[in-house]
Amino acid sequence: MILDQLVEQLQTARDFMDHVTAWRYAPPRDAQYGAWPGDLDGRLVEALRRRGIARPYTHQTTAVEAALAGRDSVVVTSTASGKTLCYNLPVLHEVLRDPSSRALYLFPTKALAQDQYAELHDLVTLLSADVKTYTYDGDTPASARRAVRLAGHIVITNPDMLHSGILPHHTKWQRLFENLKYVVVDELHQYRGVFGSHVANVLRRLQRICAFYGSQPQFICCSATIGNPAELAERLTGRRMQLVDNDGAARGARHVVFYNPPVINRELGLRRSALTEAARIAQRLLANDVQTIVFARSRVSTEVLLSRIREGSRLPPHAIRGYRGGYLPLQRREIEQGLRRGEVRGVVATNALELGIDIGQLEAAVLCGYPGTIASTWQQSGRAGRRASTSLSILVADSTPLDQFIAGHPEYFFGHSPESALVNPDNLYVLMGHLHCAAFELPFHNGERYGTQDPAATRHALGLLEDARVVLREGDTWYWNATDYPAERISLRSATRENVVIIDVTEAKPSVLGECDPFAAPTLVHQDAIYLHEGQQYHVVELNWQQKKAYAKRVNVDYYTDASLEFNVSVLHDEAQTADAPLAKGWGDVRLTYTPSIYKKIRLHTYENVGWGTIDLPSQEMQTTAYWLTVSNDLAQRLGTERLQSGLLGLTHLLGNVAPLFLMCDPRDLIAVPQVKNPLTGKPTIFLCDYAPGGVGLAERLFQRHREVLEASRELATTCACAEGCPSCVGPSAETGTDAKSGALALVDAALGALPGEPGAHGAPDERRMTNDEGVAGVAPT
Amino acid sequence: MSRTSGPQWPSSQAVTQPFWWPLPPLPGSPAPLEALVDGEVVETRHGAFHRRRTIFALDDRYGTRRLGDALRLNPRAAATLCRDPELAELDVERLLFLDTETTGLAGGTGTYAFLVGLGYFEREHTAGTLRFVLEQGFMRSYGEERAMLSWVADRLERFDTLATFNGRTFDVPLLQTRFIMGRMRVDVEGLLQFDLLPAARRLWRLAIGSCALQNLERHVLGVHRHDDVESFLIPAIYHQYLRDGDGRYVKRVFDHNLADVLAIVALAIRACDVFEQGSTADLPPGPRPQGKENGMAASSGGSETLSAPLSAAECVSLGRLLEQLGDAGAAERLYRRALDGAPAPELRARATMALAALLKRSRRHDDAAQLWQRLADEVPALSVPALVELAKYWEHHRRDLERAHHLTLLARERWQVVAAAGPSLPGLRRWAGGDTAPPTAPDDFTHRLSRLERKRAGDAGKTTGLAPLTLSVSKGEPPGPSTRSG
Repeated sequence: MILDQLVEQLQTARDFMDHVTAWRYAPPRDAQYGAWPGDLDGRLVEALRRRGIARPYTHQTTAVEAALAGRDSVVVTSTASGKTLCYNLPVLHEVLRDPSSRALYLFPTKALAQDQYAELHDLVTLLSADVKTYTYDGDTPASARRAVRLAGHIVITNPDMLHSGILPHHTKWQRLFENLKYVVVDELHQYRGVFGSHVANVLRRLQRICAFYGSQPQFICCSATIGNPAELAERLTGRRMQLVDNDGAARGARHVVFYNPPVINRELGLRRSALTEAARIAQRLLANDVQTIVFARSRVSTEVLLSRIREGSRLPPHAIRGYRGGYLPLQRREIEQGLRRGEVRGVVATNALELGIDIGQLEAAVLCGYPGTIASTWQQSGRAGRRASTSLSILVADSTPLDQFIAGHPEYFFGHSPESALVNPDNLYVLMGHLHCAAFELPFHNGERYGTQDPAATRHALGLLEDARVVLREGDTWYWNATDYPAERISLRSATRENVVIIDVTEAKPSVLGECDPFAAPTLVHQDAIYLHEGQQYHVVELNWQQKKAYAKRVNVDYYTDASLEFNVSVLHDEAQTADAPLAKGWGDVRLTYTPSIYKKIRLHTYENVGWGTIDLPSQEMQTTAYWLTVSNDLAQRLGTERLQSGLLGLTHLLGNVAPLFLMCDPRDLIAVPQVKNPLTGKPTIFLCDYAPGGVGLAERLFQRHREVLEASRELATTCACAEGCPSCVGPSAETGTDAKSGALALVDAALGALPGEPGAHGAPDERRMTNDEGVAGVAPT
Repeated sequence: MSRTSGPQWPSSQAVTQPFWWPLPPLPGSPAPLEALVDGEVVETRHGAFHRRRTIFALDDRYGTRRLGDALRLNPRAAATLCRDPELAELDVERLLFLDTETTGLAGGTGTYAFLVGLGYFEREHTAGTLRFVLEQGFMRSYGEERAMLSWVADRLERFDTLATFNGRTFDVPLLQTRFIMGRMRVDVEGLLQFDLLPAARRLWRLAIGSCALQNLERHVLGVHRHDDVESFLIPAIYHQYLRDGDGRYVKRVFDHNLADVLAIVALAIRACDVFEQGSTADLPPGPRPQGKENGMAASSGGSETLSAPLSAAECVSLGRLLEQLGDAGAAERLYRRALDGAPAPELRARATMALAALLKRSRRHDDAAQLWQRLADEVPALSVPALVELAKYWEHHRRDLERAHHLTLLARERWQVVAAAGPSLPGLRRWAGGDTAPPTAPDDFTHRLSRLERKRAGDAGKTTGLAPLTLSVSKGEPPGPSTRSG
């Protein structure tokens, strides 16, 4: 059956349509073509013609024109719209014009670099020109490295390799740096948060070294749809960017559906589980031979969904696969290939498969739970979408407040542009680390600036390095004066540092099952956890925290485990604090302590709690930034102790779930912690902490958007059908108390009542506003 | 992100990790470098730096090696030992001995060469006698780097080959980096390189294991340094010098560097000497053929350097090198010479296996079998690969399945003893210089045994009288590898 028929069937099925809160349709769109710029090398135009590309899409024209005119640009278009040509053409044009020219391509992962290498290689072959293209990463054999350094016209690498393998050895790359004309940064949207902040600093160092060799490369960036592509590119590169977003690629018709599972207990606000519903929908699609991707929010739910879908499907297990971080690279490659060939009919994935990785275009996407942001919802939906035929994407809401808000207010989703990606290149932990590397790479001279407009700030920072005895000042120059190699000590992504390796000890001969980042390990592979991998359950018999190893045995039990962390916060320094208001806001540096506490055993299928245990692991500490709300004594007295306490818990629950809406962040990047009595001020306080050392700017952004966050929280709580609170708003009343809803609303009302300004204003995050890349916004429901 | 109250700098402790290394105190009181190291301040157009010049006569020695003998370094030896045919043009007059002391060992652009030692032969201006000059340039601050490098660049112009110890991967790329950092167009990596580290590994690893310079000095040159500064402390010494100006430790680094350069000279002499002895047939040690005569080598008449005869290990190593280069005749001679010296069991096993493999390749199977058999009889603990070879020999060349089977059983038995002793048993990993890979598991034997059993059963099925027939395949009088059952 083709998808169009299935769509019609669904639209007439009462049991399905009763729970659909939004059904949007975007008609197919024809491609919009431009012309190749007149000065583009004729050999390139000819090579493309032979490849079957007669004319460029409009965005390709604009991008190539911008590059040939010498402007830095950021290209934002839909998946599979031919955006690689937007940088390959100007780069090849330049190399053909002047064979001494060089270009550097950055991809966030080795796998993506390999994909790109293959594509570029094809084009170069068609061109039959002597353009040498190489990947340079940890896998490049030592014997080949010299050739790459000297002869490579285009060097494809990743930020980590640039950081630790290339920049500290820039003299070996003299040829490249002297002739560097282009730096291509693809998958720009992935460089956000801590990782992005690191990458911004790596690019600062790169440009410092280029200046030493007298080159000034142009930047071409490519990004998936986010709210602020130009701003992000400018923050990452420090350059003014031209935004190219006139997407001219064709696309087939598409349906976007929001589905809210039926309520099964109105009093408790209980709905049927999103997992169950998503599995049912996925089975229906697969049974009709629709190639489908299912996105789950966590690794655990990926595995639970996978086994549910397999159980109810007639397809063999190898046609329905799981895909998430923690699978070994080889296994991932095999699954990707199976998807491209169509042998794998269904895949259950986390956002590890969100973008970039080439799996072809599937027909349908089922999102089990709101992915947390508008941007990643569009990115995941975009996995389904073919040029010439219809595609379908269904979001199945779960019972968390954020999901219920989105399911209940589809206009919020469809009416807003995607969120902004935040980076904070001036995060002092990040910046100081890279200042070490920069001083190692080239001595600093007085008056030089690093990541600031103010030479005095750089002088001060270098002074700290002097105090630490790693640099030595002689007159107007600071020299590296230590034995070590600073890049070695800095990892650009916390996740790659000291991962916990999970070892299968079922058989006599242990084998590596997968790995898990150290932040997730305490909750995922603590002792006695049930760890799921490709649908198979493993019982963790031991977690050796020192050695970063978890030992697990294959088991078959009817439950899974869900662990929680306990948090505590203390303020180190406040950046800003409003004067005494009923609910005063502030933000600044905090110390966040987190301790793994207990885990629950949850029965498969019914999700009942069938037991619990404690986790015996040391506390961890992190210095970060937080946004906080302080309840005034007046307001506290007015509410009374009990209502205040329940209200505090309720509002914390609300905020922790609504706030990610305003930030381009995973709900897990933000930790909400209530304090009935802050040790410092003695006042009731709610903290929203940036869950990354040093913070990436979430706290400040929340501080600025204080009013909107509170308004959305009020909106969610008042429109929720429950009486005294439910998991979808302020949390279940059994946990937060019967006053949670009214208490939380009282707090919010008091705060908003005292705020000046025009209520209800949602500012667009980026001034260069645009439509989302799938073009669905604003289309009337059918 | 503009913070409202300006940057709040964390303490330096929070963002950097101090890792300087306090040095153990020295006797005496601090003194400036200039007071401890004689030398001069050299002025260049890029500024000044400190330089020490030490002059040696040709008869001066490092260990047992006479420095003047370096004038007769054999270019063919250098080319062979470094596997670089271009070195066959080596001209000692244009050879610069080089060693650097650096601020770190990790490499990268933040590593400086703060002391550069250069050694070369030079004719004295007035008397016209040849001598060895060892110059050491030292930067007293980072600001003096350019001045010192300009002197190095100036010296490099007079030479076309560098003799170093591990210079190819360390000193030379590092200097190249420094020149680029100083914006000086000097192509030091373009010079020919006579790197003694790979040469030493080829010649002496078998005999002495570690080819660290100190170990080579001790075992090959007979030099024991006294009061030498630990190499790993050198970066920290320089960092501390820049902070406190105390020259006492730096003085020791000068002496360390001086010794290193001399050691390179002595190693070059000995390496070429071994090569010459090994490749000039079976001449007993004695008057050696003269090396390359050039204008500078005139005064070498009084040479009576001890030309130590080759050790068995040196013979095997050199034999292997020559065999790789295709000189099977020389290799065979060297292996035999090694065996003549009644070497220790492990070395003997190695020489035997190497020689037998060479014979096997030149189809002298019976000669090879004789060697394996002797090893199996006399050094049972190290004989597993020899037994495997013997089994192949009897199976394929002599068609004696019975004996092949028996030998395989014996090999398995001995293997089990070896394996039980654990992988630490010397010689287990590197059995043989030949082409016999050590059997990794008893499975290998099982495979061979079952094949032999199958074959035997097949033979038995056909006819019983086949065994003597197969013997007649071998031509002439079979040498009958002695199966001395002693």
